Amino acid sequence: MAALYDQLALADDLWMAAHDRPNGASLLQPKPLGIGLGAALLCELVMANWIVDVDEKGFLHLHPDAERYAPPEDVAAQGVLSQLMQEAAAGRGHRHSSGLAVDDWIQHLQADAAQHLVEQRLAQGDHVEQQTRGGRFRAARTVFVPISSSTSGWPAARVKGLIEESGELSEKDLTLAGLIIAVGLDKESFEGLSRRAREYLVRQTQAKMRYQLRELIVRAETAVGRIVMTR
Amino acid sequence: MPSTSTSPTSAPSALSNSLARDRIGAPGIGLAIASSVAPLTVVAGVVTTAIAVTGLTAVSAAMLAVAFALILFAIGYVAMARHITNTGAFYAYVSKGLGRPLGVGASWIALLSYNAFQVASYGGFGFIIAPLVQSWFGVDLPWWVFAAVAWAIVAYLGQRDVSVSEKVLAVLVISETLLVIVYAVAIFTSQGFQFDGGAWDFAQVFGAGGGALLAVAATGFAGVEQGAVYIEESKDPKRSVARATFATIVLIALLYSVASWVQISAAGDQVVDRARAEGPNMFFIQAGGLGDWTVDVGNLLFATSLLAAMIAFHNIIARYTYALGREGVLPTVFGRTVGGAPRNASFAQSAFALLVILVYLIGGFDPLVQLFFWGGTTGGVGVLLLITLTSIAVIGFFLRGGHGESLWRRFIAPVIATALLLVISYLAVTNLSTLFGVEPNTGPALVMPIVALVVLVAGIVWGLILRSSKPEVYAGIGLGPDSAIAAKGSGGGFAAMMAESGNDSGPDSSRDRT
Repeated sequence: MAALYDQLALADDLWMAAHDRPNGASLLQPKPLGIGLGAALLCELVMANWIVDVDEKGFLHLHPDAERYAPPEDVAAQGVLSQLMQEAAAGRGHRHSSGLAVDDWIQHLQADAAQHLVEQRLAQGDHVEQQTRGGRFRAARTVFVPISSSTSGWPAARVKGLIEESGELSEKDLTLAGLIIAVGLDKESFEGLSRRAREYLVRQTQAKMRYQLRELIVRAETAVGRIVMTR
Repeated sequence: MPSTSTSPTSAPSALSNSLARDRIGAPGIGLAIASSVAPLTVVAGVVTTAIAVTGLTAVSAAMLAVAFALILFAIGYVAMARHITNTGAFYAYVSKGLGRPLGVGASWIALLSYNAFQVASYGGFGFIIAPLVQSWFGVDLPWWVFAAVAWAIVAYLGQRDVSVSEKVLAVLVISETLLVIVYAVAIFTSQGFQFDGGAWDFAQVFGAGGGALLAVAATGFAGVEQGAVYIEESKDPKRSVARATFATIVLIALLYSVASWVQISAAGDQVVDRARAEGPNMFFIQAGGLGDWTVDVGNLLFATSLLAAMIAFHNIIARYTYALGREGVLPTVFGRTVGGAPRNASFAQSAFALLVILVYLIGGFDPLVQLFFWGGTTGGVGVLLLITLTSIAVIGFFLRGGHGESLWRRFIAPVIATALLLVISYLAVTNLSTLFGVEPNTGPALVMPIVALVVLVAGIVWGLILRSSKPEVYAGIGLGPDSAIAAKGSGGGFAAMMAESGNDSGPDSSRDRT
């Protein structure tokens, strides 16, 4: 069972952590959730080497041979990558092309696709089920909920356990931890984490996380911050 | 493989389309600004206070004078907002235009002023609601019970996502505005009504005590600066915010000046005595032609108007505190979000407000005069001074670089606005004792300027300390959430956590590892 859970992609893990509630509802409002998921999808592409750089000015750079490779099989990664490649192609030849700005991409994915793509992927793997909410006072809407609370609780609990025991955290684990903090989920997911454990997390992140992922996490956090300021 | 000779215009940018869809237009911005202003509190409360306190009648003239200065101010303000970030906070402008230490000072003055407004409302609310409850239900409870109920509502809303309080605010503001219009029409269509020029006697504004009129008028416009918050999200950054801000200032000014004109005309020669005797009720009594209920309904909506102001200012303070926490100017714990809301910042404001209510309750101080009037005046004068400082900052900013803005927007309008605002501020500050209703240079008229000066200097000193002890935080002052990108030492949450470790100052150190 643990092996099955370990197979969830980064954005899926984040989605689970955000929906770790008895009724499976989201702990986050749609915008911060969308920002986190959008950034997570971009992080997945970085870890799979589709995106090779996130520079300090905030621009994404795709692998120069990206078009030559077969697209990824998973629906979410493919969804984001094809949009990125389309934009890159549209920008080529533009005199004023500014490239692929991370902030714009996080914003776009948040508004448009991130949550949908991730839920689609989770549904394909049977990790979520559909439910209808509302109907009495509000228009009925369909939402996705985790199939069980152990499914939703596992990703954050696993990472938290590793941090507390000073265990071996993979780059993906560290990225998940960073994103959990960036979108403000850490109060729930990392409740009770000691100061010593946090310091361990910081050291591991410095040692193992490539700068491109750091940049994405910081920008996601800033995007969440901007939402707070504009409401 | 897509050919590079594909015409760029034929590939639609899904990205720019989706970003465009999410944008907010001028009407939405206008509503947001209107929610931060409290029309009924101003028309009923502020107007009668101004008359009662100064013995003057030129309220409409004062409103227009202030609105004129604010429109000129807004021209430069909105122009500068296009070139900076963290546009909803005055201290961002001061930081960029006059330097970061003064920016920190301005941020603390802002916190002081907005908090004064917010907390003052609890006194007014309790004072108004207590007699209503007594006459409706026969239950006699002191003001602070109702203040505590209002406090609980605000504290609760503050912990939740702002979209809930936004809806509440919109409903409250629309209802109170409708009431103002309905009552004003009722008054001037009533028997024997005649328009009176006393409300427009501009000479009074610049004569003895006129400064107090201006200061009180200025309190009515606090909140109009909030439009700039939306500049990055607006459909047309060049125009939407400008249009919304100007339109809102003009509409509010018209509402205030006409409603005050109507009230003052209806009261005729006895206006000063009536204002002193009846307070906000004067407006409601004058509309009595509509029925017996005008006073009670008026008071009820006056109380909800205060509730709206409490909520709006609570949100503004929470955002300020959050942004300052993100920068590291205030403890970074305030820069954390929980579920996307700045809960720690909201909690801090709620705790402060509760403390003040408790102090007033235990000390037996008067909620109307000593909390509502004094607090509101402090807040109003504080915001007036902030706007003046920001106006100077706009000039300073554009002197360093025109950023493509026209001479009118970057220099002429700001200079005229600053001159007007300096005059108004000077008049307000020199008339503080009239405003507070005390002997010159005693009580709050003495304490308030001293406290404000101390807070300002303390903020400047703190900024200077940061410059030498934490330059990476200093670099981010004024930037709000964006400080995490510019200044690696700030940001709250992840960015701050990584920086606190000390070893690492940015991504560069791990760049080599890949």
